Amino acid sequence: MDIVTRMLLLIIFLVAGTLCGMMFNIALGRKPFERGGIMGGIIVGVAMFAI
Amino acid sequence: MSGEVKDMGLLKRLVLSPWRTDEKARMDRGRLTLLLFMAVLVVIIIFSSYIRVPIQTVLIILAVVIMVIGRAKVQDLMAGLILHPIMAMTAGFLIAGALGLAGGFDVLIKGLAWLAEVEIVPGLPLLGWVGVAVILANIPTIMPMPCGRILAAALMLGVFLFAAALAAAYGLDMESNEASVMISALVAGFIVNAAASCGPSTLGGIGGIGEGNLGLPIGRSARAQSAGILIATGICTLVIALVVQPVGG
Repeated sequence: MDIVTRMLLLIIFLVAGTLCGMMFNIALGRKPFERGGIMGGIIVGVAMFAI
Repeated sequence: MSGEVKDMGLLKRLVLSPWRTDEKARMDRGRLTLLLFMAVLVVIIIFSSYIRVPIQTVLIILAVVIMVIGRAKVQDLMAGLILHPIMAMTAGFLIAGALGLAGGFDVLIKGLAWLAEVEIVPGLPLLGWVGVAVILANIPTIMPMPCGRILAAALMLGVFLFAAALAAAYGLDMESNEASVMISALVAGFIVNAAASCGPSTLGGIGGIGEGNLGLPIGRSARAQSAGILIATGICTLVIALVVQPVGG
């Protein structure tokens, strides 16, 4: 896999993770852009990309 | 030998089939095991009011007897796909039971609570409870097993306990509708994630089956599926929280 594809894939995972985190924030009664959910989503996205 | 077999009666042929080595012995062993299996099932159904032995015990004993007659080894059974889903779920439940008895879930909740309170600078937590909930709900797809039931069965109780701790951390009464919705949403998100997690697994599972049928290399669609599952987990949690009301709510 070339570097551009890898970067695109990473961006996709980061966006997906951020969306997931935002939805968790709302579902669990927090504000949509609160740090906890977004950070959790980004960590999950990076983990799925790396593994 | 084949002449002796021809002279035997059918019943004697079947009964002696486990010890025979002629070319027809395999077929006779098959007939004997099938007859035994059907007979046991019929007996269980007819005498279900009188037989108090659990069906699982009977089936396990029957499986061992059939294995002995059919000269099958455990590896022969485990190598096939036939036993895979039920074995996966059984393994998950056994792990969950072992973890529960050994206090593993208490340690898990304490560890997650500690992680939720890790601070970047004093007063500013890195993940908080919601961040840890996001990670916990996505663990099955981060570590995809060949069957989603393995982690689903093993960790379900842990997720439920964490969701209850999450509600308590936010000062919600366990009897309140808000706490019920919060617990339902997190557990449902975890279920969706676990159920879909055998898709991206390169160890086998539904994703591997699909790729095999399409002639694709194993793991070609794994990352695409992972990204989709990640979003779907969030959507499920949100829908449950916004739309579904707790029982009696």
